Parts: sequence; C-alpha cells; structure tokens
Amino acid sequence: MTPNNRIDPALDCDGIRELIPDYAFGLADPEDIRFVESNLINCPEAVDELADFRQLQAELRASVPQIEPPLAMGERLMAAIATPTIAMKPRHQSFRLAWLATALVVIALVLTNIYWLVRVNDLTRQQNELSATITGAQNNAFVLTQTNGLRWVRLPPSEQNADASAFLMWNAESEIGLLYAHGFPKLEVGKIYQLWLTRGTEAVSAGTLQLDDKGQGALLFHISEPIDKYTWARITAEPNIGSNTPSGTIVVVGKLQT
Amino acid sequence: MQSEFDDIEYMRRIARHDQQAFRALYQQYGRPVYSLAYRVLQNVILAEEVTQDTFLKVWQQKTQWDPDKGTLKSWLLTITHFTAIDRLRRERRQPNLHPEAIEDIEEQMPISRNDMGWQDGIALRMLVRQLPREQAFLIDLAFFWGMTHHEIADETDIPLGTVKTRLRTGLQRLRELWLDSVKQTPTRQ
Repeated sequence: MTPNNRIDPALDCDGIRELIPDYAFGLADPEDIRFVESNLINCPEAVDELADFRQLQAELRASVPQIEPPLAMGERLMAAIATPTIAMKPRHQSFRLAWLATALVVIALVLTNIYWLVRVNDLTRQQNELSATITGAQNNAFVLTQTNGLRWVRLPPSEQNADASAFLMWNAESEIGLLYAHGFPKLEVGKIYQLWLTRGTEAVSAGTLQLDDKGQGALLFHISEPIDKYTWARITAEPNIGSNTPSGTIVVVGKLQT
Repeated sequence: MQSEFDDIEYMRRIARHDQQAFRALYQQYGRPVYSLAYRVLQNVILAEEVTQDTFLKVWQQKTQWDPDKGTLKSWLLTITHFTAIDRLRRERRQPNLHPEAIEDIEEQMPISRNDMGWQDGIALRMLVRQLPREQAFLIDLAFFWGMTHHEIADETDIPLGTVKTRLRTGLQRLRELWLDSVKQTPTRQ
C-alpha cells in the first residue's frame, strides 16, 4: 500500500511505518523504497522498527536448525585458498612458455637432423664414387703389372720442348696403359695436356694429364682396343675441355712398336 | 563463546591472509553458515558450494565487516543468505509449497542440540509457529527463498493483494512476539 499524503513526510509517519516490513524484507516496490529512504529520518519510530526488523532477520538466519557440515569441507576450503587463481596464472604461462620452447627445440632438432642426413647421404655417395674410382684404378694397375706382356717406351720431346719427357707402359694383352710425364712446360691458362694414340690417320684420345708445378704427373688410362694395335703415342697441348682430334703443339711423341 | 574482540582479531589477520585465522573462523562459523545455506537450498552439494563461496568472499576481502553495524556472525549469515538466494535463482529451484513438508525436513535433519544458539533458534521458530500458518508460510517463502510478492502470488495462486496483506500483517505480528520474547528474557541481550 502506498500512502496518499507524501507532501509532508513529517505528517505521514504512519504511512512510512506501514511500509517498513516490506522495506526491511526487500519486498517494497522501487517507488516505496524511494519514499521510505527519503522520509525515514523524519520518523524515529520507523527507524526503531526498521532496526527491530534488521535484528529479527539476523536472528531468523541464525535460528535455522543447525546441521554438521561435511567433515572434508574445511580441508577443501583450506585447499581452495592455498591455491589461489592468481598464483595459477603465472604457472600456466610458464607451462606454455616451456611447451613453446620445447616445441622450438624439437623443430630445430628435426631440421638439423634432416640437414645432416642429407649431408651424410651426399658424402656417402661421394665416398662410394671415390672408392669405385680407386678400386678401378687399383684393378687397372694390377692388370697392368701382373702379366708377362709388359711393355714400355720413352716418348722423346719435340724440338720446342727439350726438357720434356714421358714414359708409356702397357700390357700387350689388355687395353690399359700408364703414362708418366716430367719436365713439361707450364701451360697458359685454358690449356691442358692430352695423350693420343694413333695409327695411320686415326687418333684416339687416351685422356688428359693433370701435372704439378714441376711439370710432373701420371695418367692411368683404359681404351677400347689393345694398345699394341696403335703405332704412335703423342702428347699435345689442347683446350682444357679436351679435343676430339689433336690440334695443338706436340710436346712429346714416340713409336709404340718396339 | 566467541568475543567481538576475537572476531576483530580474526578478521585483521585474515586481511593479512593468515590461513590459521581463516581456519579458526571456519571452525567457529562453518556450521551456522552451512546450516543456513542448507535451509535455503535443501541440497547438501549446493549448500557446501555456497558455504565455500561465502568464506572465499571473506578471504578475498570482497566485502568488509563493520563491527559497528552488527556481529561477525550476522554479517557472515547475511552474505550466506544472499549467496544462497542467488544460487537458488541460477539453479531455478522451486520452493516446497507445502509448509508441513518444510517442517518435516527440519525435523529429519541431523540437528546439533549442544550449542547455545540452538535454544534461541528453537525459541524463534516457536514464535513463528504462533503465527497463523498461512502467514508463517508466506514469510518463509519471502525471507528464506527471497521471493517477491508477485512470485509468491504466481507460485501459490493467492491473489497479490492477499499476499501483501498477509505478509505485512505476519511480519508485524512476528516483530511484536519477538519483542515480547526479548523483554521476557533480558539475558539474551
């Protein structure tokens, strides 16, 4: 019920007192609440009644039948305050950072492993190729020296290269030969020495020579026919990619037929 | 018996996050808080959660006790009551609309009868029972369940005006009975 006379609150104490129970128990309408709160100071009786109802409410709350809470509830409550949310946050963040760091380390390890795997495979392939080359050269040298048909000739220098000389050794039963060269002049850049075997007008390349600073070097070579079938051997200076036919200056030349 | 000085000291230490003081506070007031929560919610799990929420609000200093405005126990029970009603609304739990059934629940609960507060509680409940049953029932719905006039009218099919009149009359009568009771037993003060 809302009092009709609200113009003079001092005269309407009864109206306020009538609203006090609703106001105290949270049942009053917003309009009644405003009316009580703005006029309460003018009505000491209403103030006393309100204090009584506040005390009555407190006692009603305390008057409920008392029952024992679960035994473990106290410990759960203590555990709840022992692990506050504020403390958990940095822990979660540190976990996330740890996981991130771990993930980055794992990725780095995987990438490193892939790199080294490729590198090892590459080196293994190169080693295999080198081993095959060495094995082939060893076989050639073995075939060259382990027969009775071993032959050799000296390839004398041409007139322009008096200090140059070469020895050619081969097995009459095979297509394998060994050339040893020394005293060869240093070539200009872009040139290389090349060994030729010739018969008539035919010339077959037996390979190119890698010489040291003193003009010394060796070449173990293998051609498609027995070396005895050729007549001459010569070494010429050719472009460093090699030539199909001899075109450069002859450094040494010698007859194979002994 | 807990003195106000002890309560002030507890709260001062709790403000400094003293866990021992907090444990002592729970040991002192855990039972009335839990009992009120259970009275409102009538569910042990929800009552425990509300009890925990109430004490955590104290620990986290979300609200401050003013000794000049009332005892620590009254302050704790007020927090408990509002927390329980909030929880009741979130859970959309409905009140038991049979007053006899409410009384039966009280009788069946494991009541602790070895504390001084029990005597006062019994006395006040006896005062409530002196009210006409229809008034006591509406006071129970309004106070413990936090229901408004309209909600009570809707739930009980009682006209709104009747609800308002019965409640107002019942509360005024309860105050008179309570004041008489206080006058007759001055030691309670």
